[in-house]
Formats: sequence, structure tokens, C-alpha cells
Amino acid sequence: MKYSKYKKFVYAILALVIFAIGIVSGKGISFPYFEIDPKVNLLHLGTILNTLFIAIMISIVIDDKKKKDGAHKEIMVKRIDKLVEAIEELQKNVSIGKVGLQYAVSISKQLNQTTKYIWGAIGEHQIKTTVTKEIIIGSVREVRKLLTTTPSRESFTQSDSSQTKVSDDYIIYGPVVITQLMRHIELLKNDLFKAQIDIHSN
Amino acid sequence: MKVQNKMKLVLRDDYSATPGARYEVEGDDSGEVFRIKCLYPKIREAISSNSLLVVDLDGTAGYGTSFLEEAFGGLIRNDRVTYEQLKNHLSIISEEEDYLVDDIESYLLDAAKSAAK
Repeated sequence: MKYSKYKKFVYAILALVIFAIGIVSGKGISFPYFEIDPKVNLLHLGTILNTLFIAIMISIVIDDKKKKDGAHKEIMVKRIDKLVEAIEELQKNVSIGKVGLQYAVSISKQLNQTTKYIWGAIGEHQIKTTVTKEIIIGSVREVRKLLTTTPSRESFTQSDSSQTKVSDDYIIYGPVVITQLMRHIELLKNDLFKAQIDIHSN
Repeated sequence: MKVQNKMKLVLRDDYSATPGARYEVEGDDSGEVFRIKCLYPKIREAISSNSLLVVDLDGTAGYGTSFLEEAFGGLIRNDRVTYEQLKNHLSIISEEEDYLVDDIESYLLDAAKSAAK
């Protein structure tokens, strides 16, 4: 509160000083006048109008491009938001230790396809991000592998309760797999957040 | 070896749009049943007729790692098809999830290594 009052006081003093400098310099320095010739060559007039037209057109085109780029970036960020929402839903299910088999396979496919679509659009609109499609797809593959791998008869041991099992169309995970899944899902989310920051700031 | 003809197996149409778990006891549309009823008879036919079996994985809800491992790795492990025969007579296509092709190749190599031991 005190700091805010002090700041206001400094700004007021600064404004007064600038005002005073303006008055003094206005009185003391005489600026030369310039005159405009009432007779204008048609060729010069054409050049002036042409320059004005080009300046206005450039500003319109640049402004339009900026608006379009901004809209594209916003759409990309929103699409990534949806992807993160789906991943967070998966994370909730994994934390319980039980995921529906069909949900597990379809979410893996959905994450892969949405990633391909978003990064295709990012490339198409030349939006810059250091997080590549390969990084995200690599993480999605890792999550899919942990999510949908169940032991074969050859590797299954009845005594090992930590192994992944399938029962009543649900995949039930042991504590080790849950920890690994949570870690990989968190890494995937962090990469997506990083991509969102890159898109915003570039 | 140059193959004469092409045969096609579209998993969505010829088996299921919602492939399931690894084993039959674990639920419907398993990788084990797919191998026994669809994949193995087709690959045997492709080998005997010197054809190429093209397996199309697109159009389904998705695949679990275990479904694919059991279906393709199981050809070597359970049905005694050799890696070389599969290399010559089997081709996998997946536009929607292109990494599945590499995954299946690694399941075949792992199964071949285990069989060689």
C-alpha cells in the first residue's frame, strides 16, 4: 500500500519535470517553419498516392495475417487442451489401478491420431515449437505399451501379484506398472504444456 | 524370393472392429482366436501358394500390445512358422497407427530369438 503511494508520488514529480522541460524548450528554441507549394506536379501526386496506397495495403495485409496467425495459434492451444483433458481422464483411471480394455486401446489410438492431426496443422501454419511430433508420439507409444501389455503364459507367474491381469474386460495393474504409467503420463503432459507455451510465445 | 499373388486380410472386416485381449479366456475377440481362426490359416495358404498376405490393421477401435504380440509372435511361438517365411509372405499395413508395423516386426524378432534358444 505504502509502496503504491510512493510510486504515484514519483510519477507525479516526473510528469511535472517533463512538463516544465517542454515549456522551457518551447520558449527557448525556435523551430523553423516549412511551406507547402500549392502547385503539385501530377507525377509527384501519383507517387504520393501510390505510396499511401501501398502503406495502407501493407498495414491491412500484415494486420490480417497477424489476426489469422493468432487465431490458428489459439485453435492449436485449444486442441492441445482437449488432448491434455483426455490424458488427465486416463490418469484418474490409472491411479485406481483398473482400466477398461476397450478404453485403453481406443484412448491410445485417439491420442496418436489427435497428435498427428495437431502437429500436421502446426507444420502447415509454420507455428514454431521445439516439441516435435516424434517426441509426443514416442511418449504416447510408451504409455500405450504400459497400458495394454499383459503377460503371456510363458512369462506369467501365479505367485507374482504385481503383474498386470485381465479380468471381466478390465486390465488390472500392479503397483510397479501404475507408478511407471503415472510417470510417463506426467512426462507426456509436461511436453504438451511446453508445446502450448512455445505456441503462445512464438 | 519373389511372390506370385497378393492375398488380403482386413482385420476390421474379417475378424472384429474391436480387437480384445491376448487370450480367449480373457474376453471376446482375442489375439489368440484371431491367430488360430484367421491369421494362421491365411499365412499357411500364402506360403503354400507362394503369395504375399497383406494384413490391413486400419478401421478398428485400436489394438492392445498383447493382442498383436499374441497374434503375430504366436505364429512363430505356437504355430512354428519361421521368421524367414513371414518375412517373405507377410506384409502389414497401418495408415492410422503407422508405428504398429515396427511393433509387430519387433514381436516377430523377439519370438524368433526365443524359438532359436
